[in-house]
Amino acid sequence: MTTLLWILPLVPVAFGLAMLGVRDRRLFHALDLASASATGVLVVIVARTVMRDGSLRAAGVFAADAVTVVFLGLIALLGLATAIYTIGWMRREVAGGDIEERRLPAYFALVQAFLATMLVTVLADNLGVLWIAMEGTTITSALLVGFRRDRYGLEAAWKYIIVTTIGISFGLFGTVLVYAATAHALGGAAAGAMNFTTIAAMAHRLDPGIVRIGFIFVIVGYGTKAGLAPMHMWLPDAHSQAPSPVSALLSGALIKCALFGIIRFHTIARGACGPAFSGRLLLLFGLVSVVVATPFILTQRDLKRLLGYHSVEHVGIVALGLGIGGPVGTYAAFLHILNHGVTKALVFFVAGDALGRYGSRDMGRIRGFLRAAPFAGTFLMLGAFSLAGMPPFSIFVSELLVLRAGIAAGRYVTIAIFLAMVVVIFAGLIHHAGKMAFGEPDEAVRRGGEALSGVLAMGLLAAVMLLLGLTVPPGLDRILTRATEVTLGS
Amino acid sequence: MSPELATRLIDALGALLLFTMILILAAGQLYRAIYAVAAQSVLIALAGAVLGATTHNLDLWIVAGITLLVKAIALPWLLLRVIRRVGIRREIEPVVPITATLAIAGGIVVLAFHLSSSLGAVRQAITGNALPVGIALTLMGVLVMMSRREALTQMVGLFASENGIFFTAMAVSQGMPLIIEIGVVLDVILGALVMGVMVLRVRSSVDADIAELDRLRG
Repeated sequence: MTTLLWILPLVPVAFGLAMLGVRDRRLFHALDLASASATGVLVVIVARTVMRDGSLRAAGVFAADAVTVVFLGLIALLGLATAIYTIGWMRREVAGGDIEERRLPAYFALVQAFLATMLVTVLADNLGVLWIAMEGTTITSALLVGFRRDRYGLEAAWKYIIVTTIGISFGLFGTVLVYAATAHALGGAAAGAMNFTTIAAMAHRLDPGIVRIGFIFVIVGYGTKAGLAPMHMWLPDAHSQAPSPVSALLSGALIKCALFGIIRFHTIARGACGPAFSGRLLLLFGLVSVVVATPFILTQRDLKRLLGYHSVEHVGIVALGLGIGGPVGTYAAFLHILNHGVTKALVFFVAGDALGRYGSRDMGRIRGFLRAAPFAGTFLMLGAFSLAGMPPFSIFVSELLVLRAGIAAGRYVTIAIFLAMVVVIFAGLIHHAGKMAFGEPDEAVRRGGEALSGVLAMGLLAAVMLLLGLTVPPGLDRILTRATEVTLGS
Repeated sequence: MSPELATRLIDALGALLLFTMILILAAGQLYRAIYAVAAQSVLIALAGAVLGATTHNLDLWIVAGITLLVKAIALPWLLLRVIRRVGIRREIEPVVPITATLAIAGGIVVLAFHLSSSLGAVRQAITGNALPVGIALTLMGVLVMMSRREALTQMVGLFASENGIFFTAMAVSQGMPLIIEIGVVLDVILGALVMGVMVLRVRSSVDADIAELDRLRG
């Protein structure tokens, strides 16, 4: 069974290499779908094994526990939805001359490499491997962000690669400190001193002073990559300039992988310095993110930048959940990671359709979207309501859980600020979405002709979103509960 | 090599490392910063070799060799090649004046010594003052990346920062496990290649330097 953990990231690598030799567009999509399906099947098998045996380990490099399973599931689901969505999206991009046919092998292979690095990140047991894979996600996705090779895309890509690389070197620094603390406690650089399972099991023996400094470096470092304010400056640029399917993966899955790194170190810090220290830092960064994102969301004109800033807010909410802590807060954080990932990817798909139809990302010019594209328009409204936190959609549930945990923990000021921001953002978001959805589209707008693949991909994500809003299925509930226990170290 | 001699050598190398970092921060010409970071990488490799000879740790020798090949030779060569290919402006135009940067750098060194005193428990006796130097190098590399707009100067800052992390790792635990060090170096190489490609692409596609790209706001 442990070989599965090695095979899993190799699937996209193998398909990516195969794609380099392909010339036919249909074959690209076939391979893309095959890769996503194979990954999905393997993830289900890993999930079942982990839920049966508790965890799965491979040679001190890879390991899977319930936390891993949450992230694997998200990556696999978004990978599949993106593969489906790309079929129709790519047809229009190539027809419109936005992407040249000869660059397709590079595009598809890079997306596969990007998925592979994300899988390695969340499968890593060795914290060094975690770092290497995380930097790998930056390198592969930076090329995708700048794929259009226009002025804006290249600017966004450069900013992205430089800022996140700076950030991530802080993450490596923190990793080195925690490794040193472990090696010290073990009485020498023993094998496994860099492995999360080893470190977490002996966290109470680590020097709290060193782990504290290490955690500060890690939260600043991986927090940059996760888009926590005030290190979020690159995020709206990169997420808005990337091709829309890539935006969906960046906002939906990648920033969650950075949160995975933070969660791992959160567990270690809880063991070494008690729950208060890392929780308070997460609370602080979470609150700052929610507050900082709000004015930018209200005054935004660019549709995809709006979604980028909105991701900053939601990463902040996840950090709040983790920071408030306790079983409810942590559970809420995990649920929110899934809910936001699914919903944000859905809305980026819609944005990709709107961009193609209106030839503009300016929300002032997008009018009558419901008329121009009934399906995508409906998904826009559904997605916007969910993102804004309306019941009965999924994000409402996880936000409510964060609130409940906060009130139970007596964090009234935090909760009051959080609530105020959520209400303001709610109004702003519904206002923006309503203006785009209703009204009469201009003559020049391309009506009708919604790609079946696009509708399918959005439908898939919308179905998951609605389901999670109504109920958390028992199987998923068990995974989330187990992930909460692993994180809290109980 | 006796541990006392090793400690003295590593302390001396640490002082030289800080000196190269000052050279990078104060450089008014791009190629000077590149030579300074190459020299810094040579010093890091030397420190690795000294530590390897003292502790009889083969891994440290390998890391020293890789550092020499990749960071002292290959990456500076790549940077110089990019300069020649695109004929970028060679003068460094800092966002923050150089004197101010140097003052901040002084503060960073003090902070690093302060910070390392609270990390006392994991400090290896043999590496002397390597820990504060490593922290200072890492933070000053980040300072270079933040206070300069030119793409290549930012890359120099990145390499310096990575050097600092390597030195820190040596100071606290005789380096990270070999396989991880190799993986990190691979990431640095790949990252540098991608950044180099981007610099060339900005030149060829939009006919500008990366420093001139500043349209994304709000």
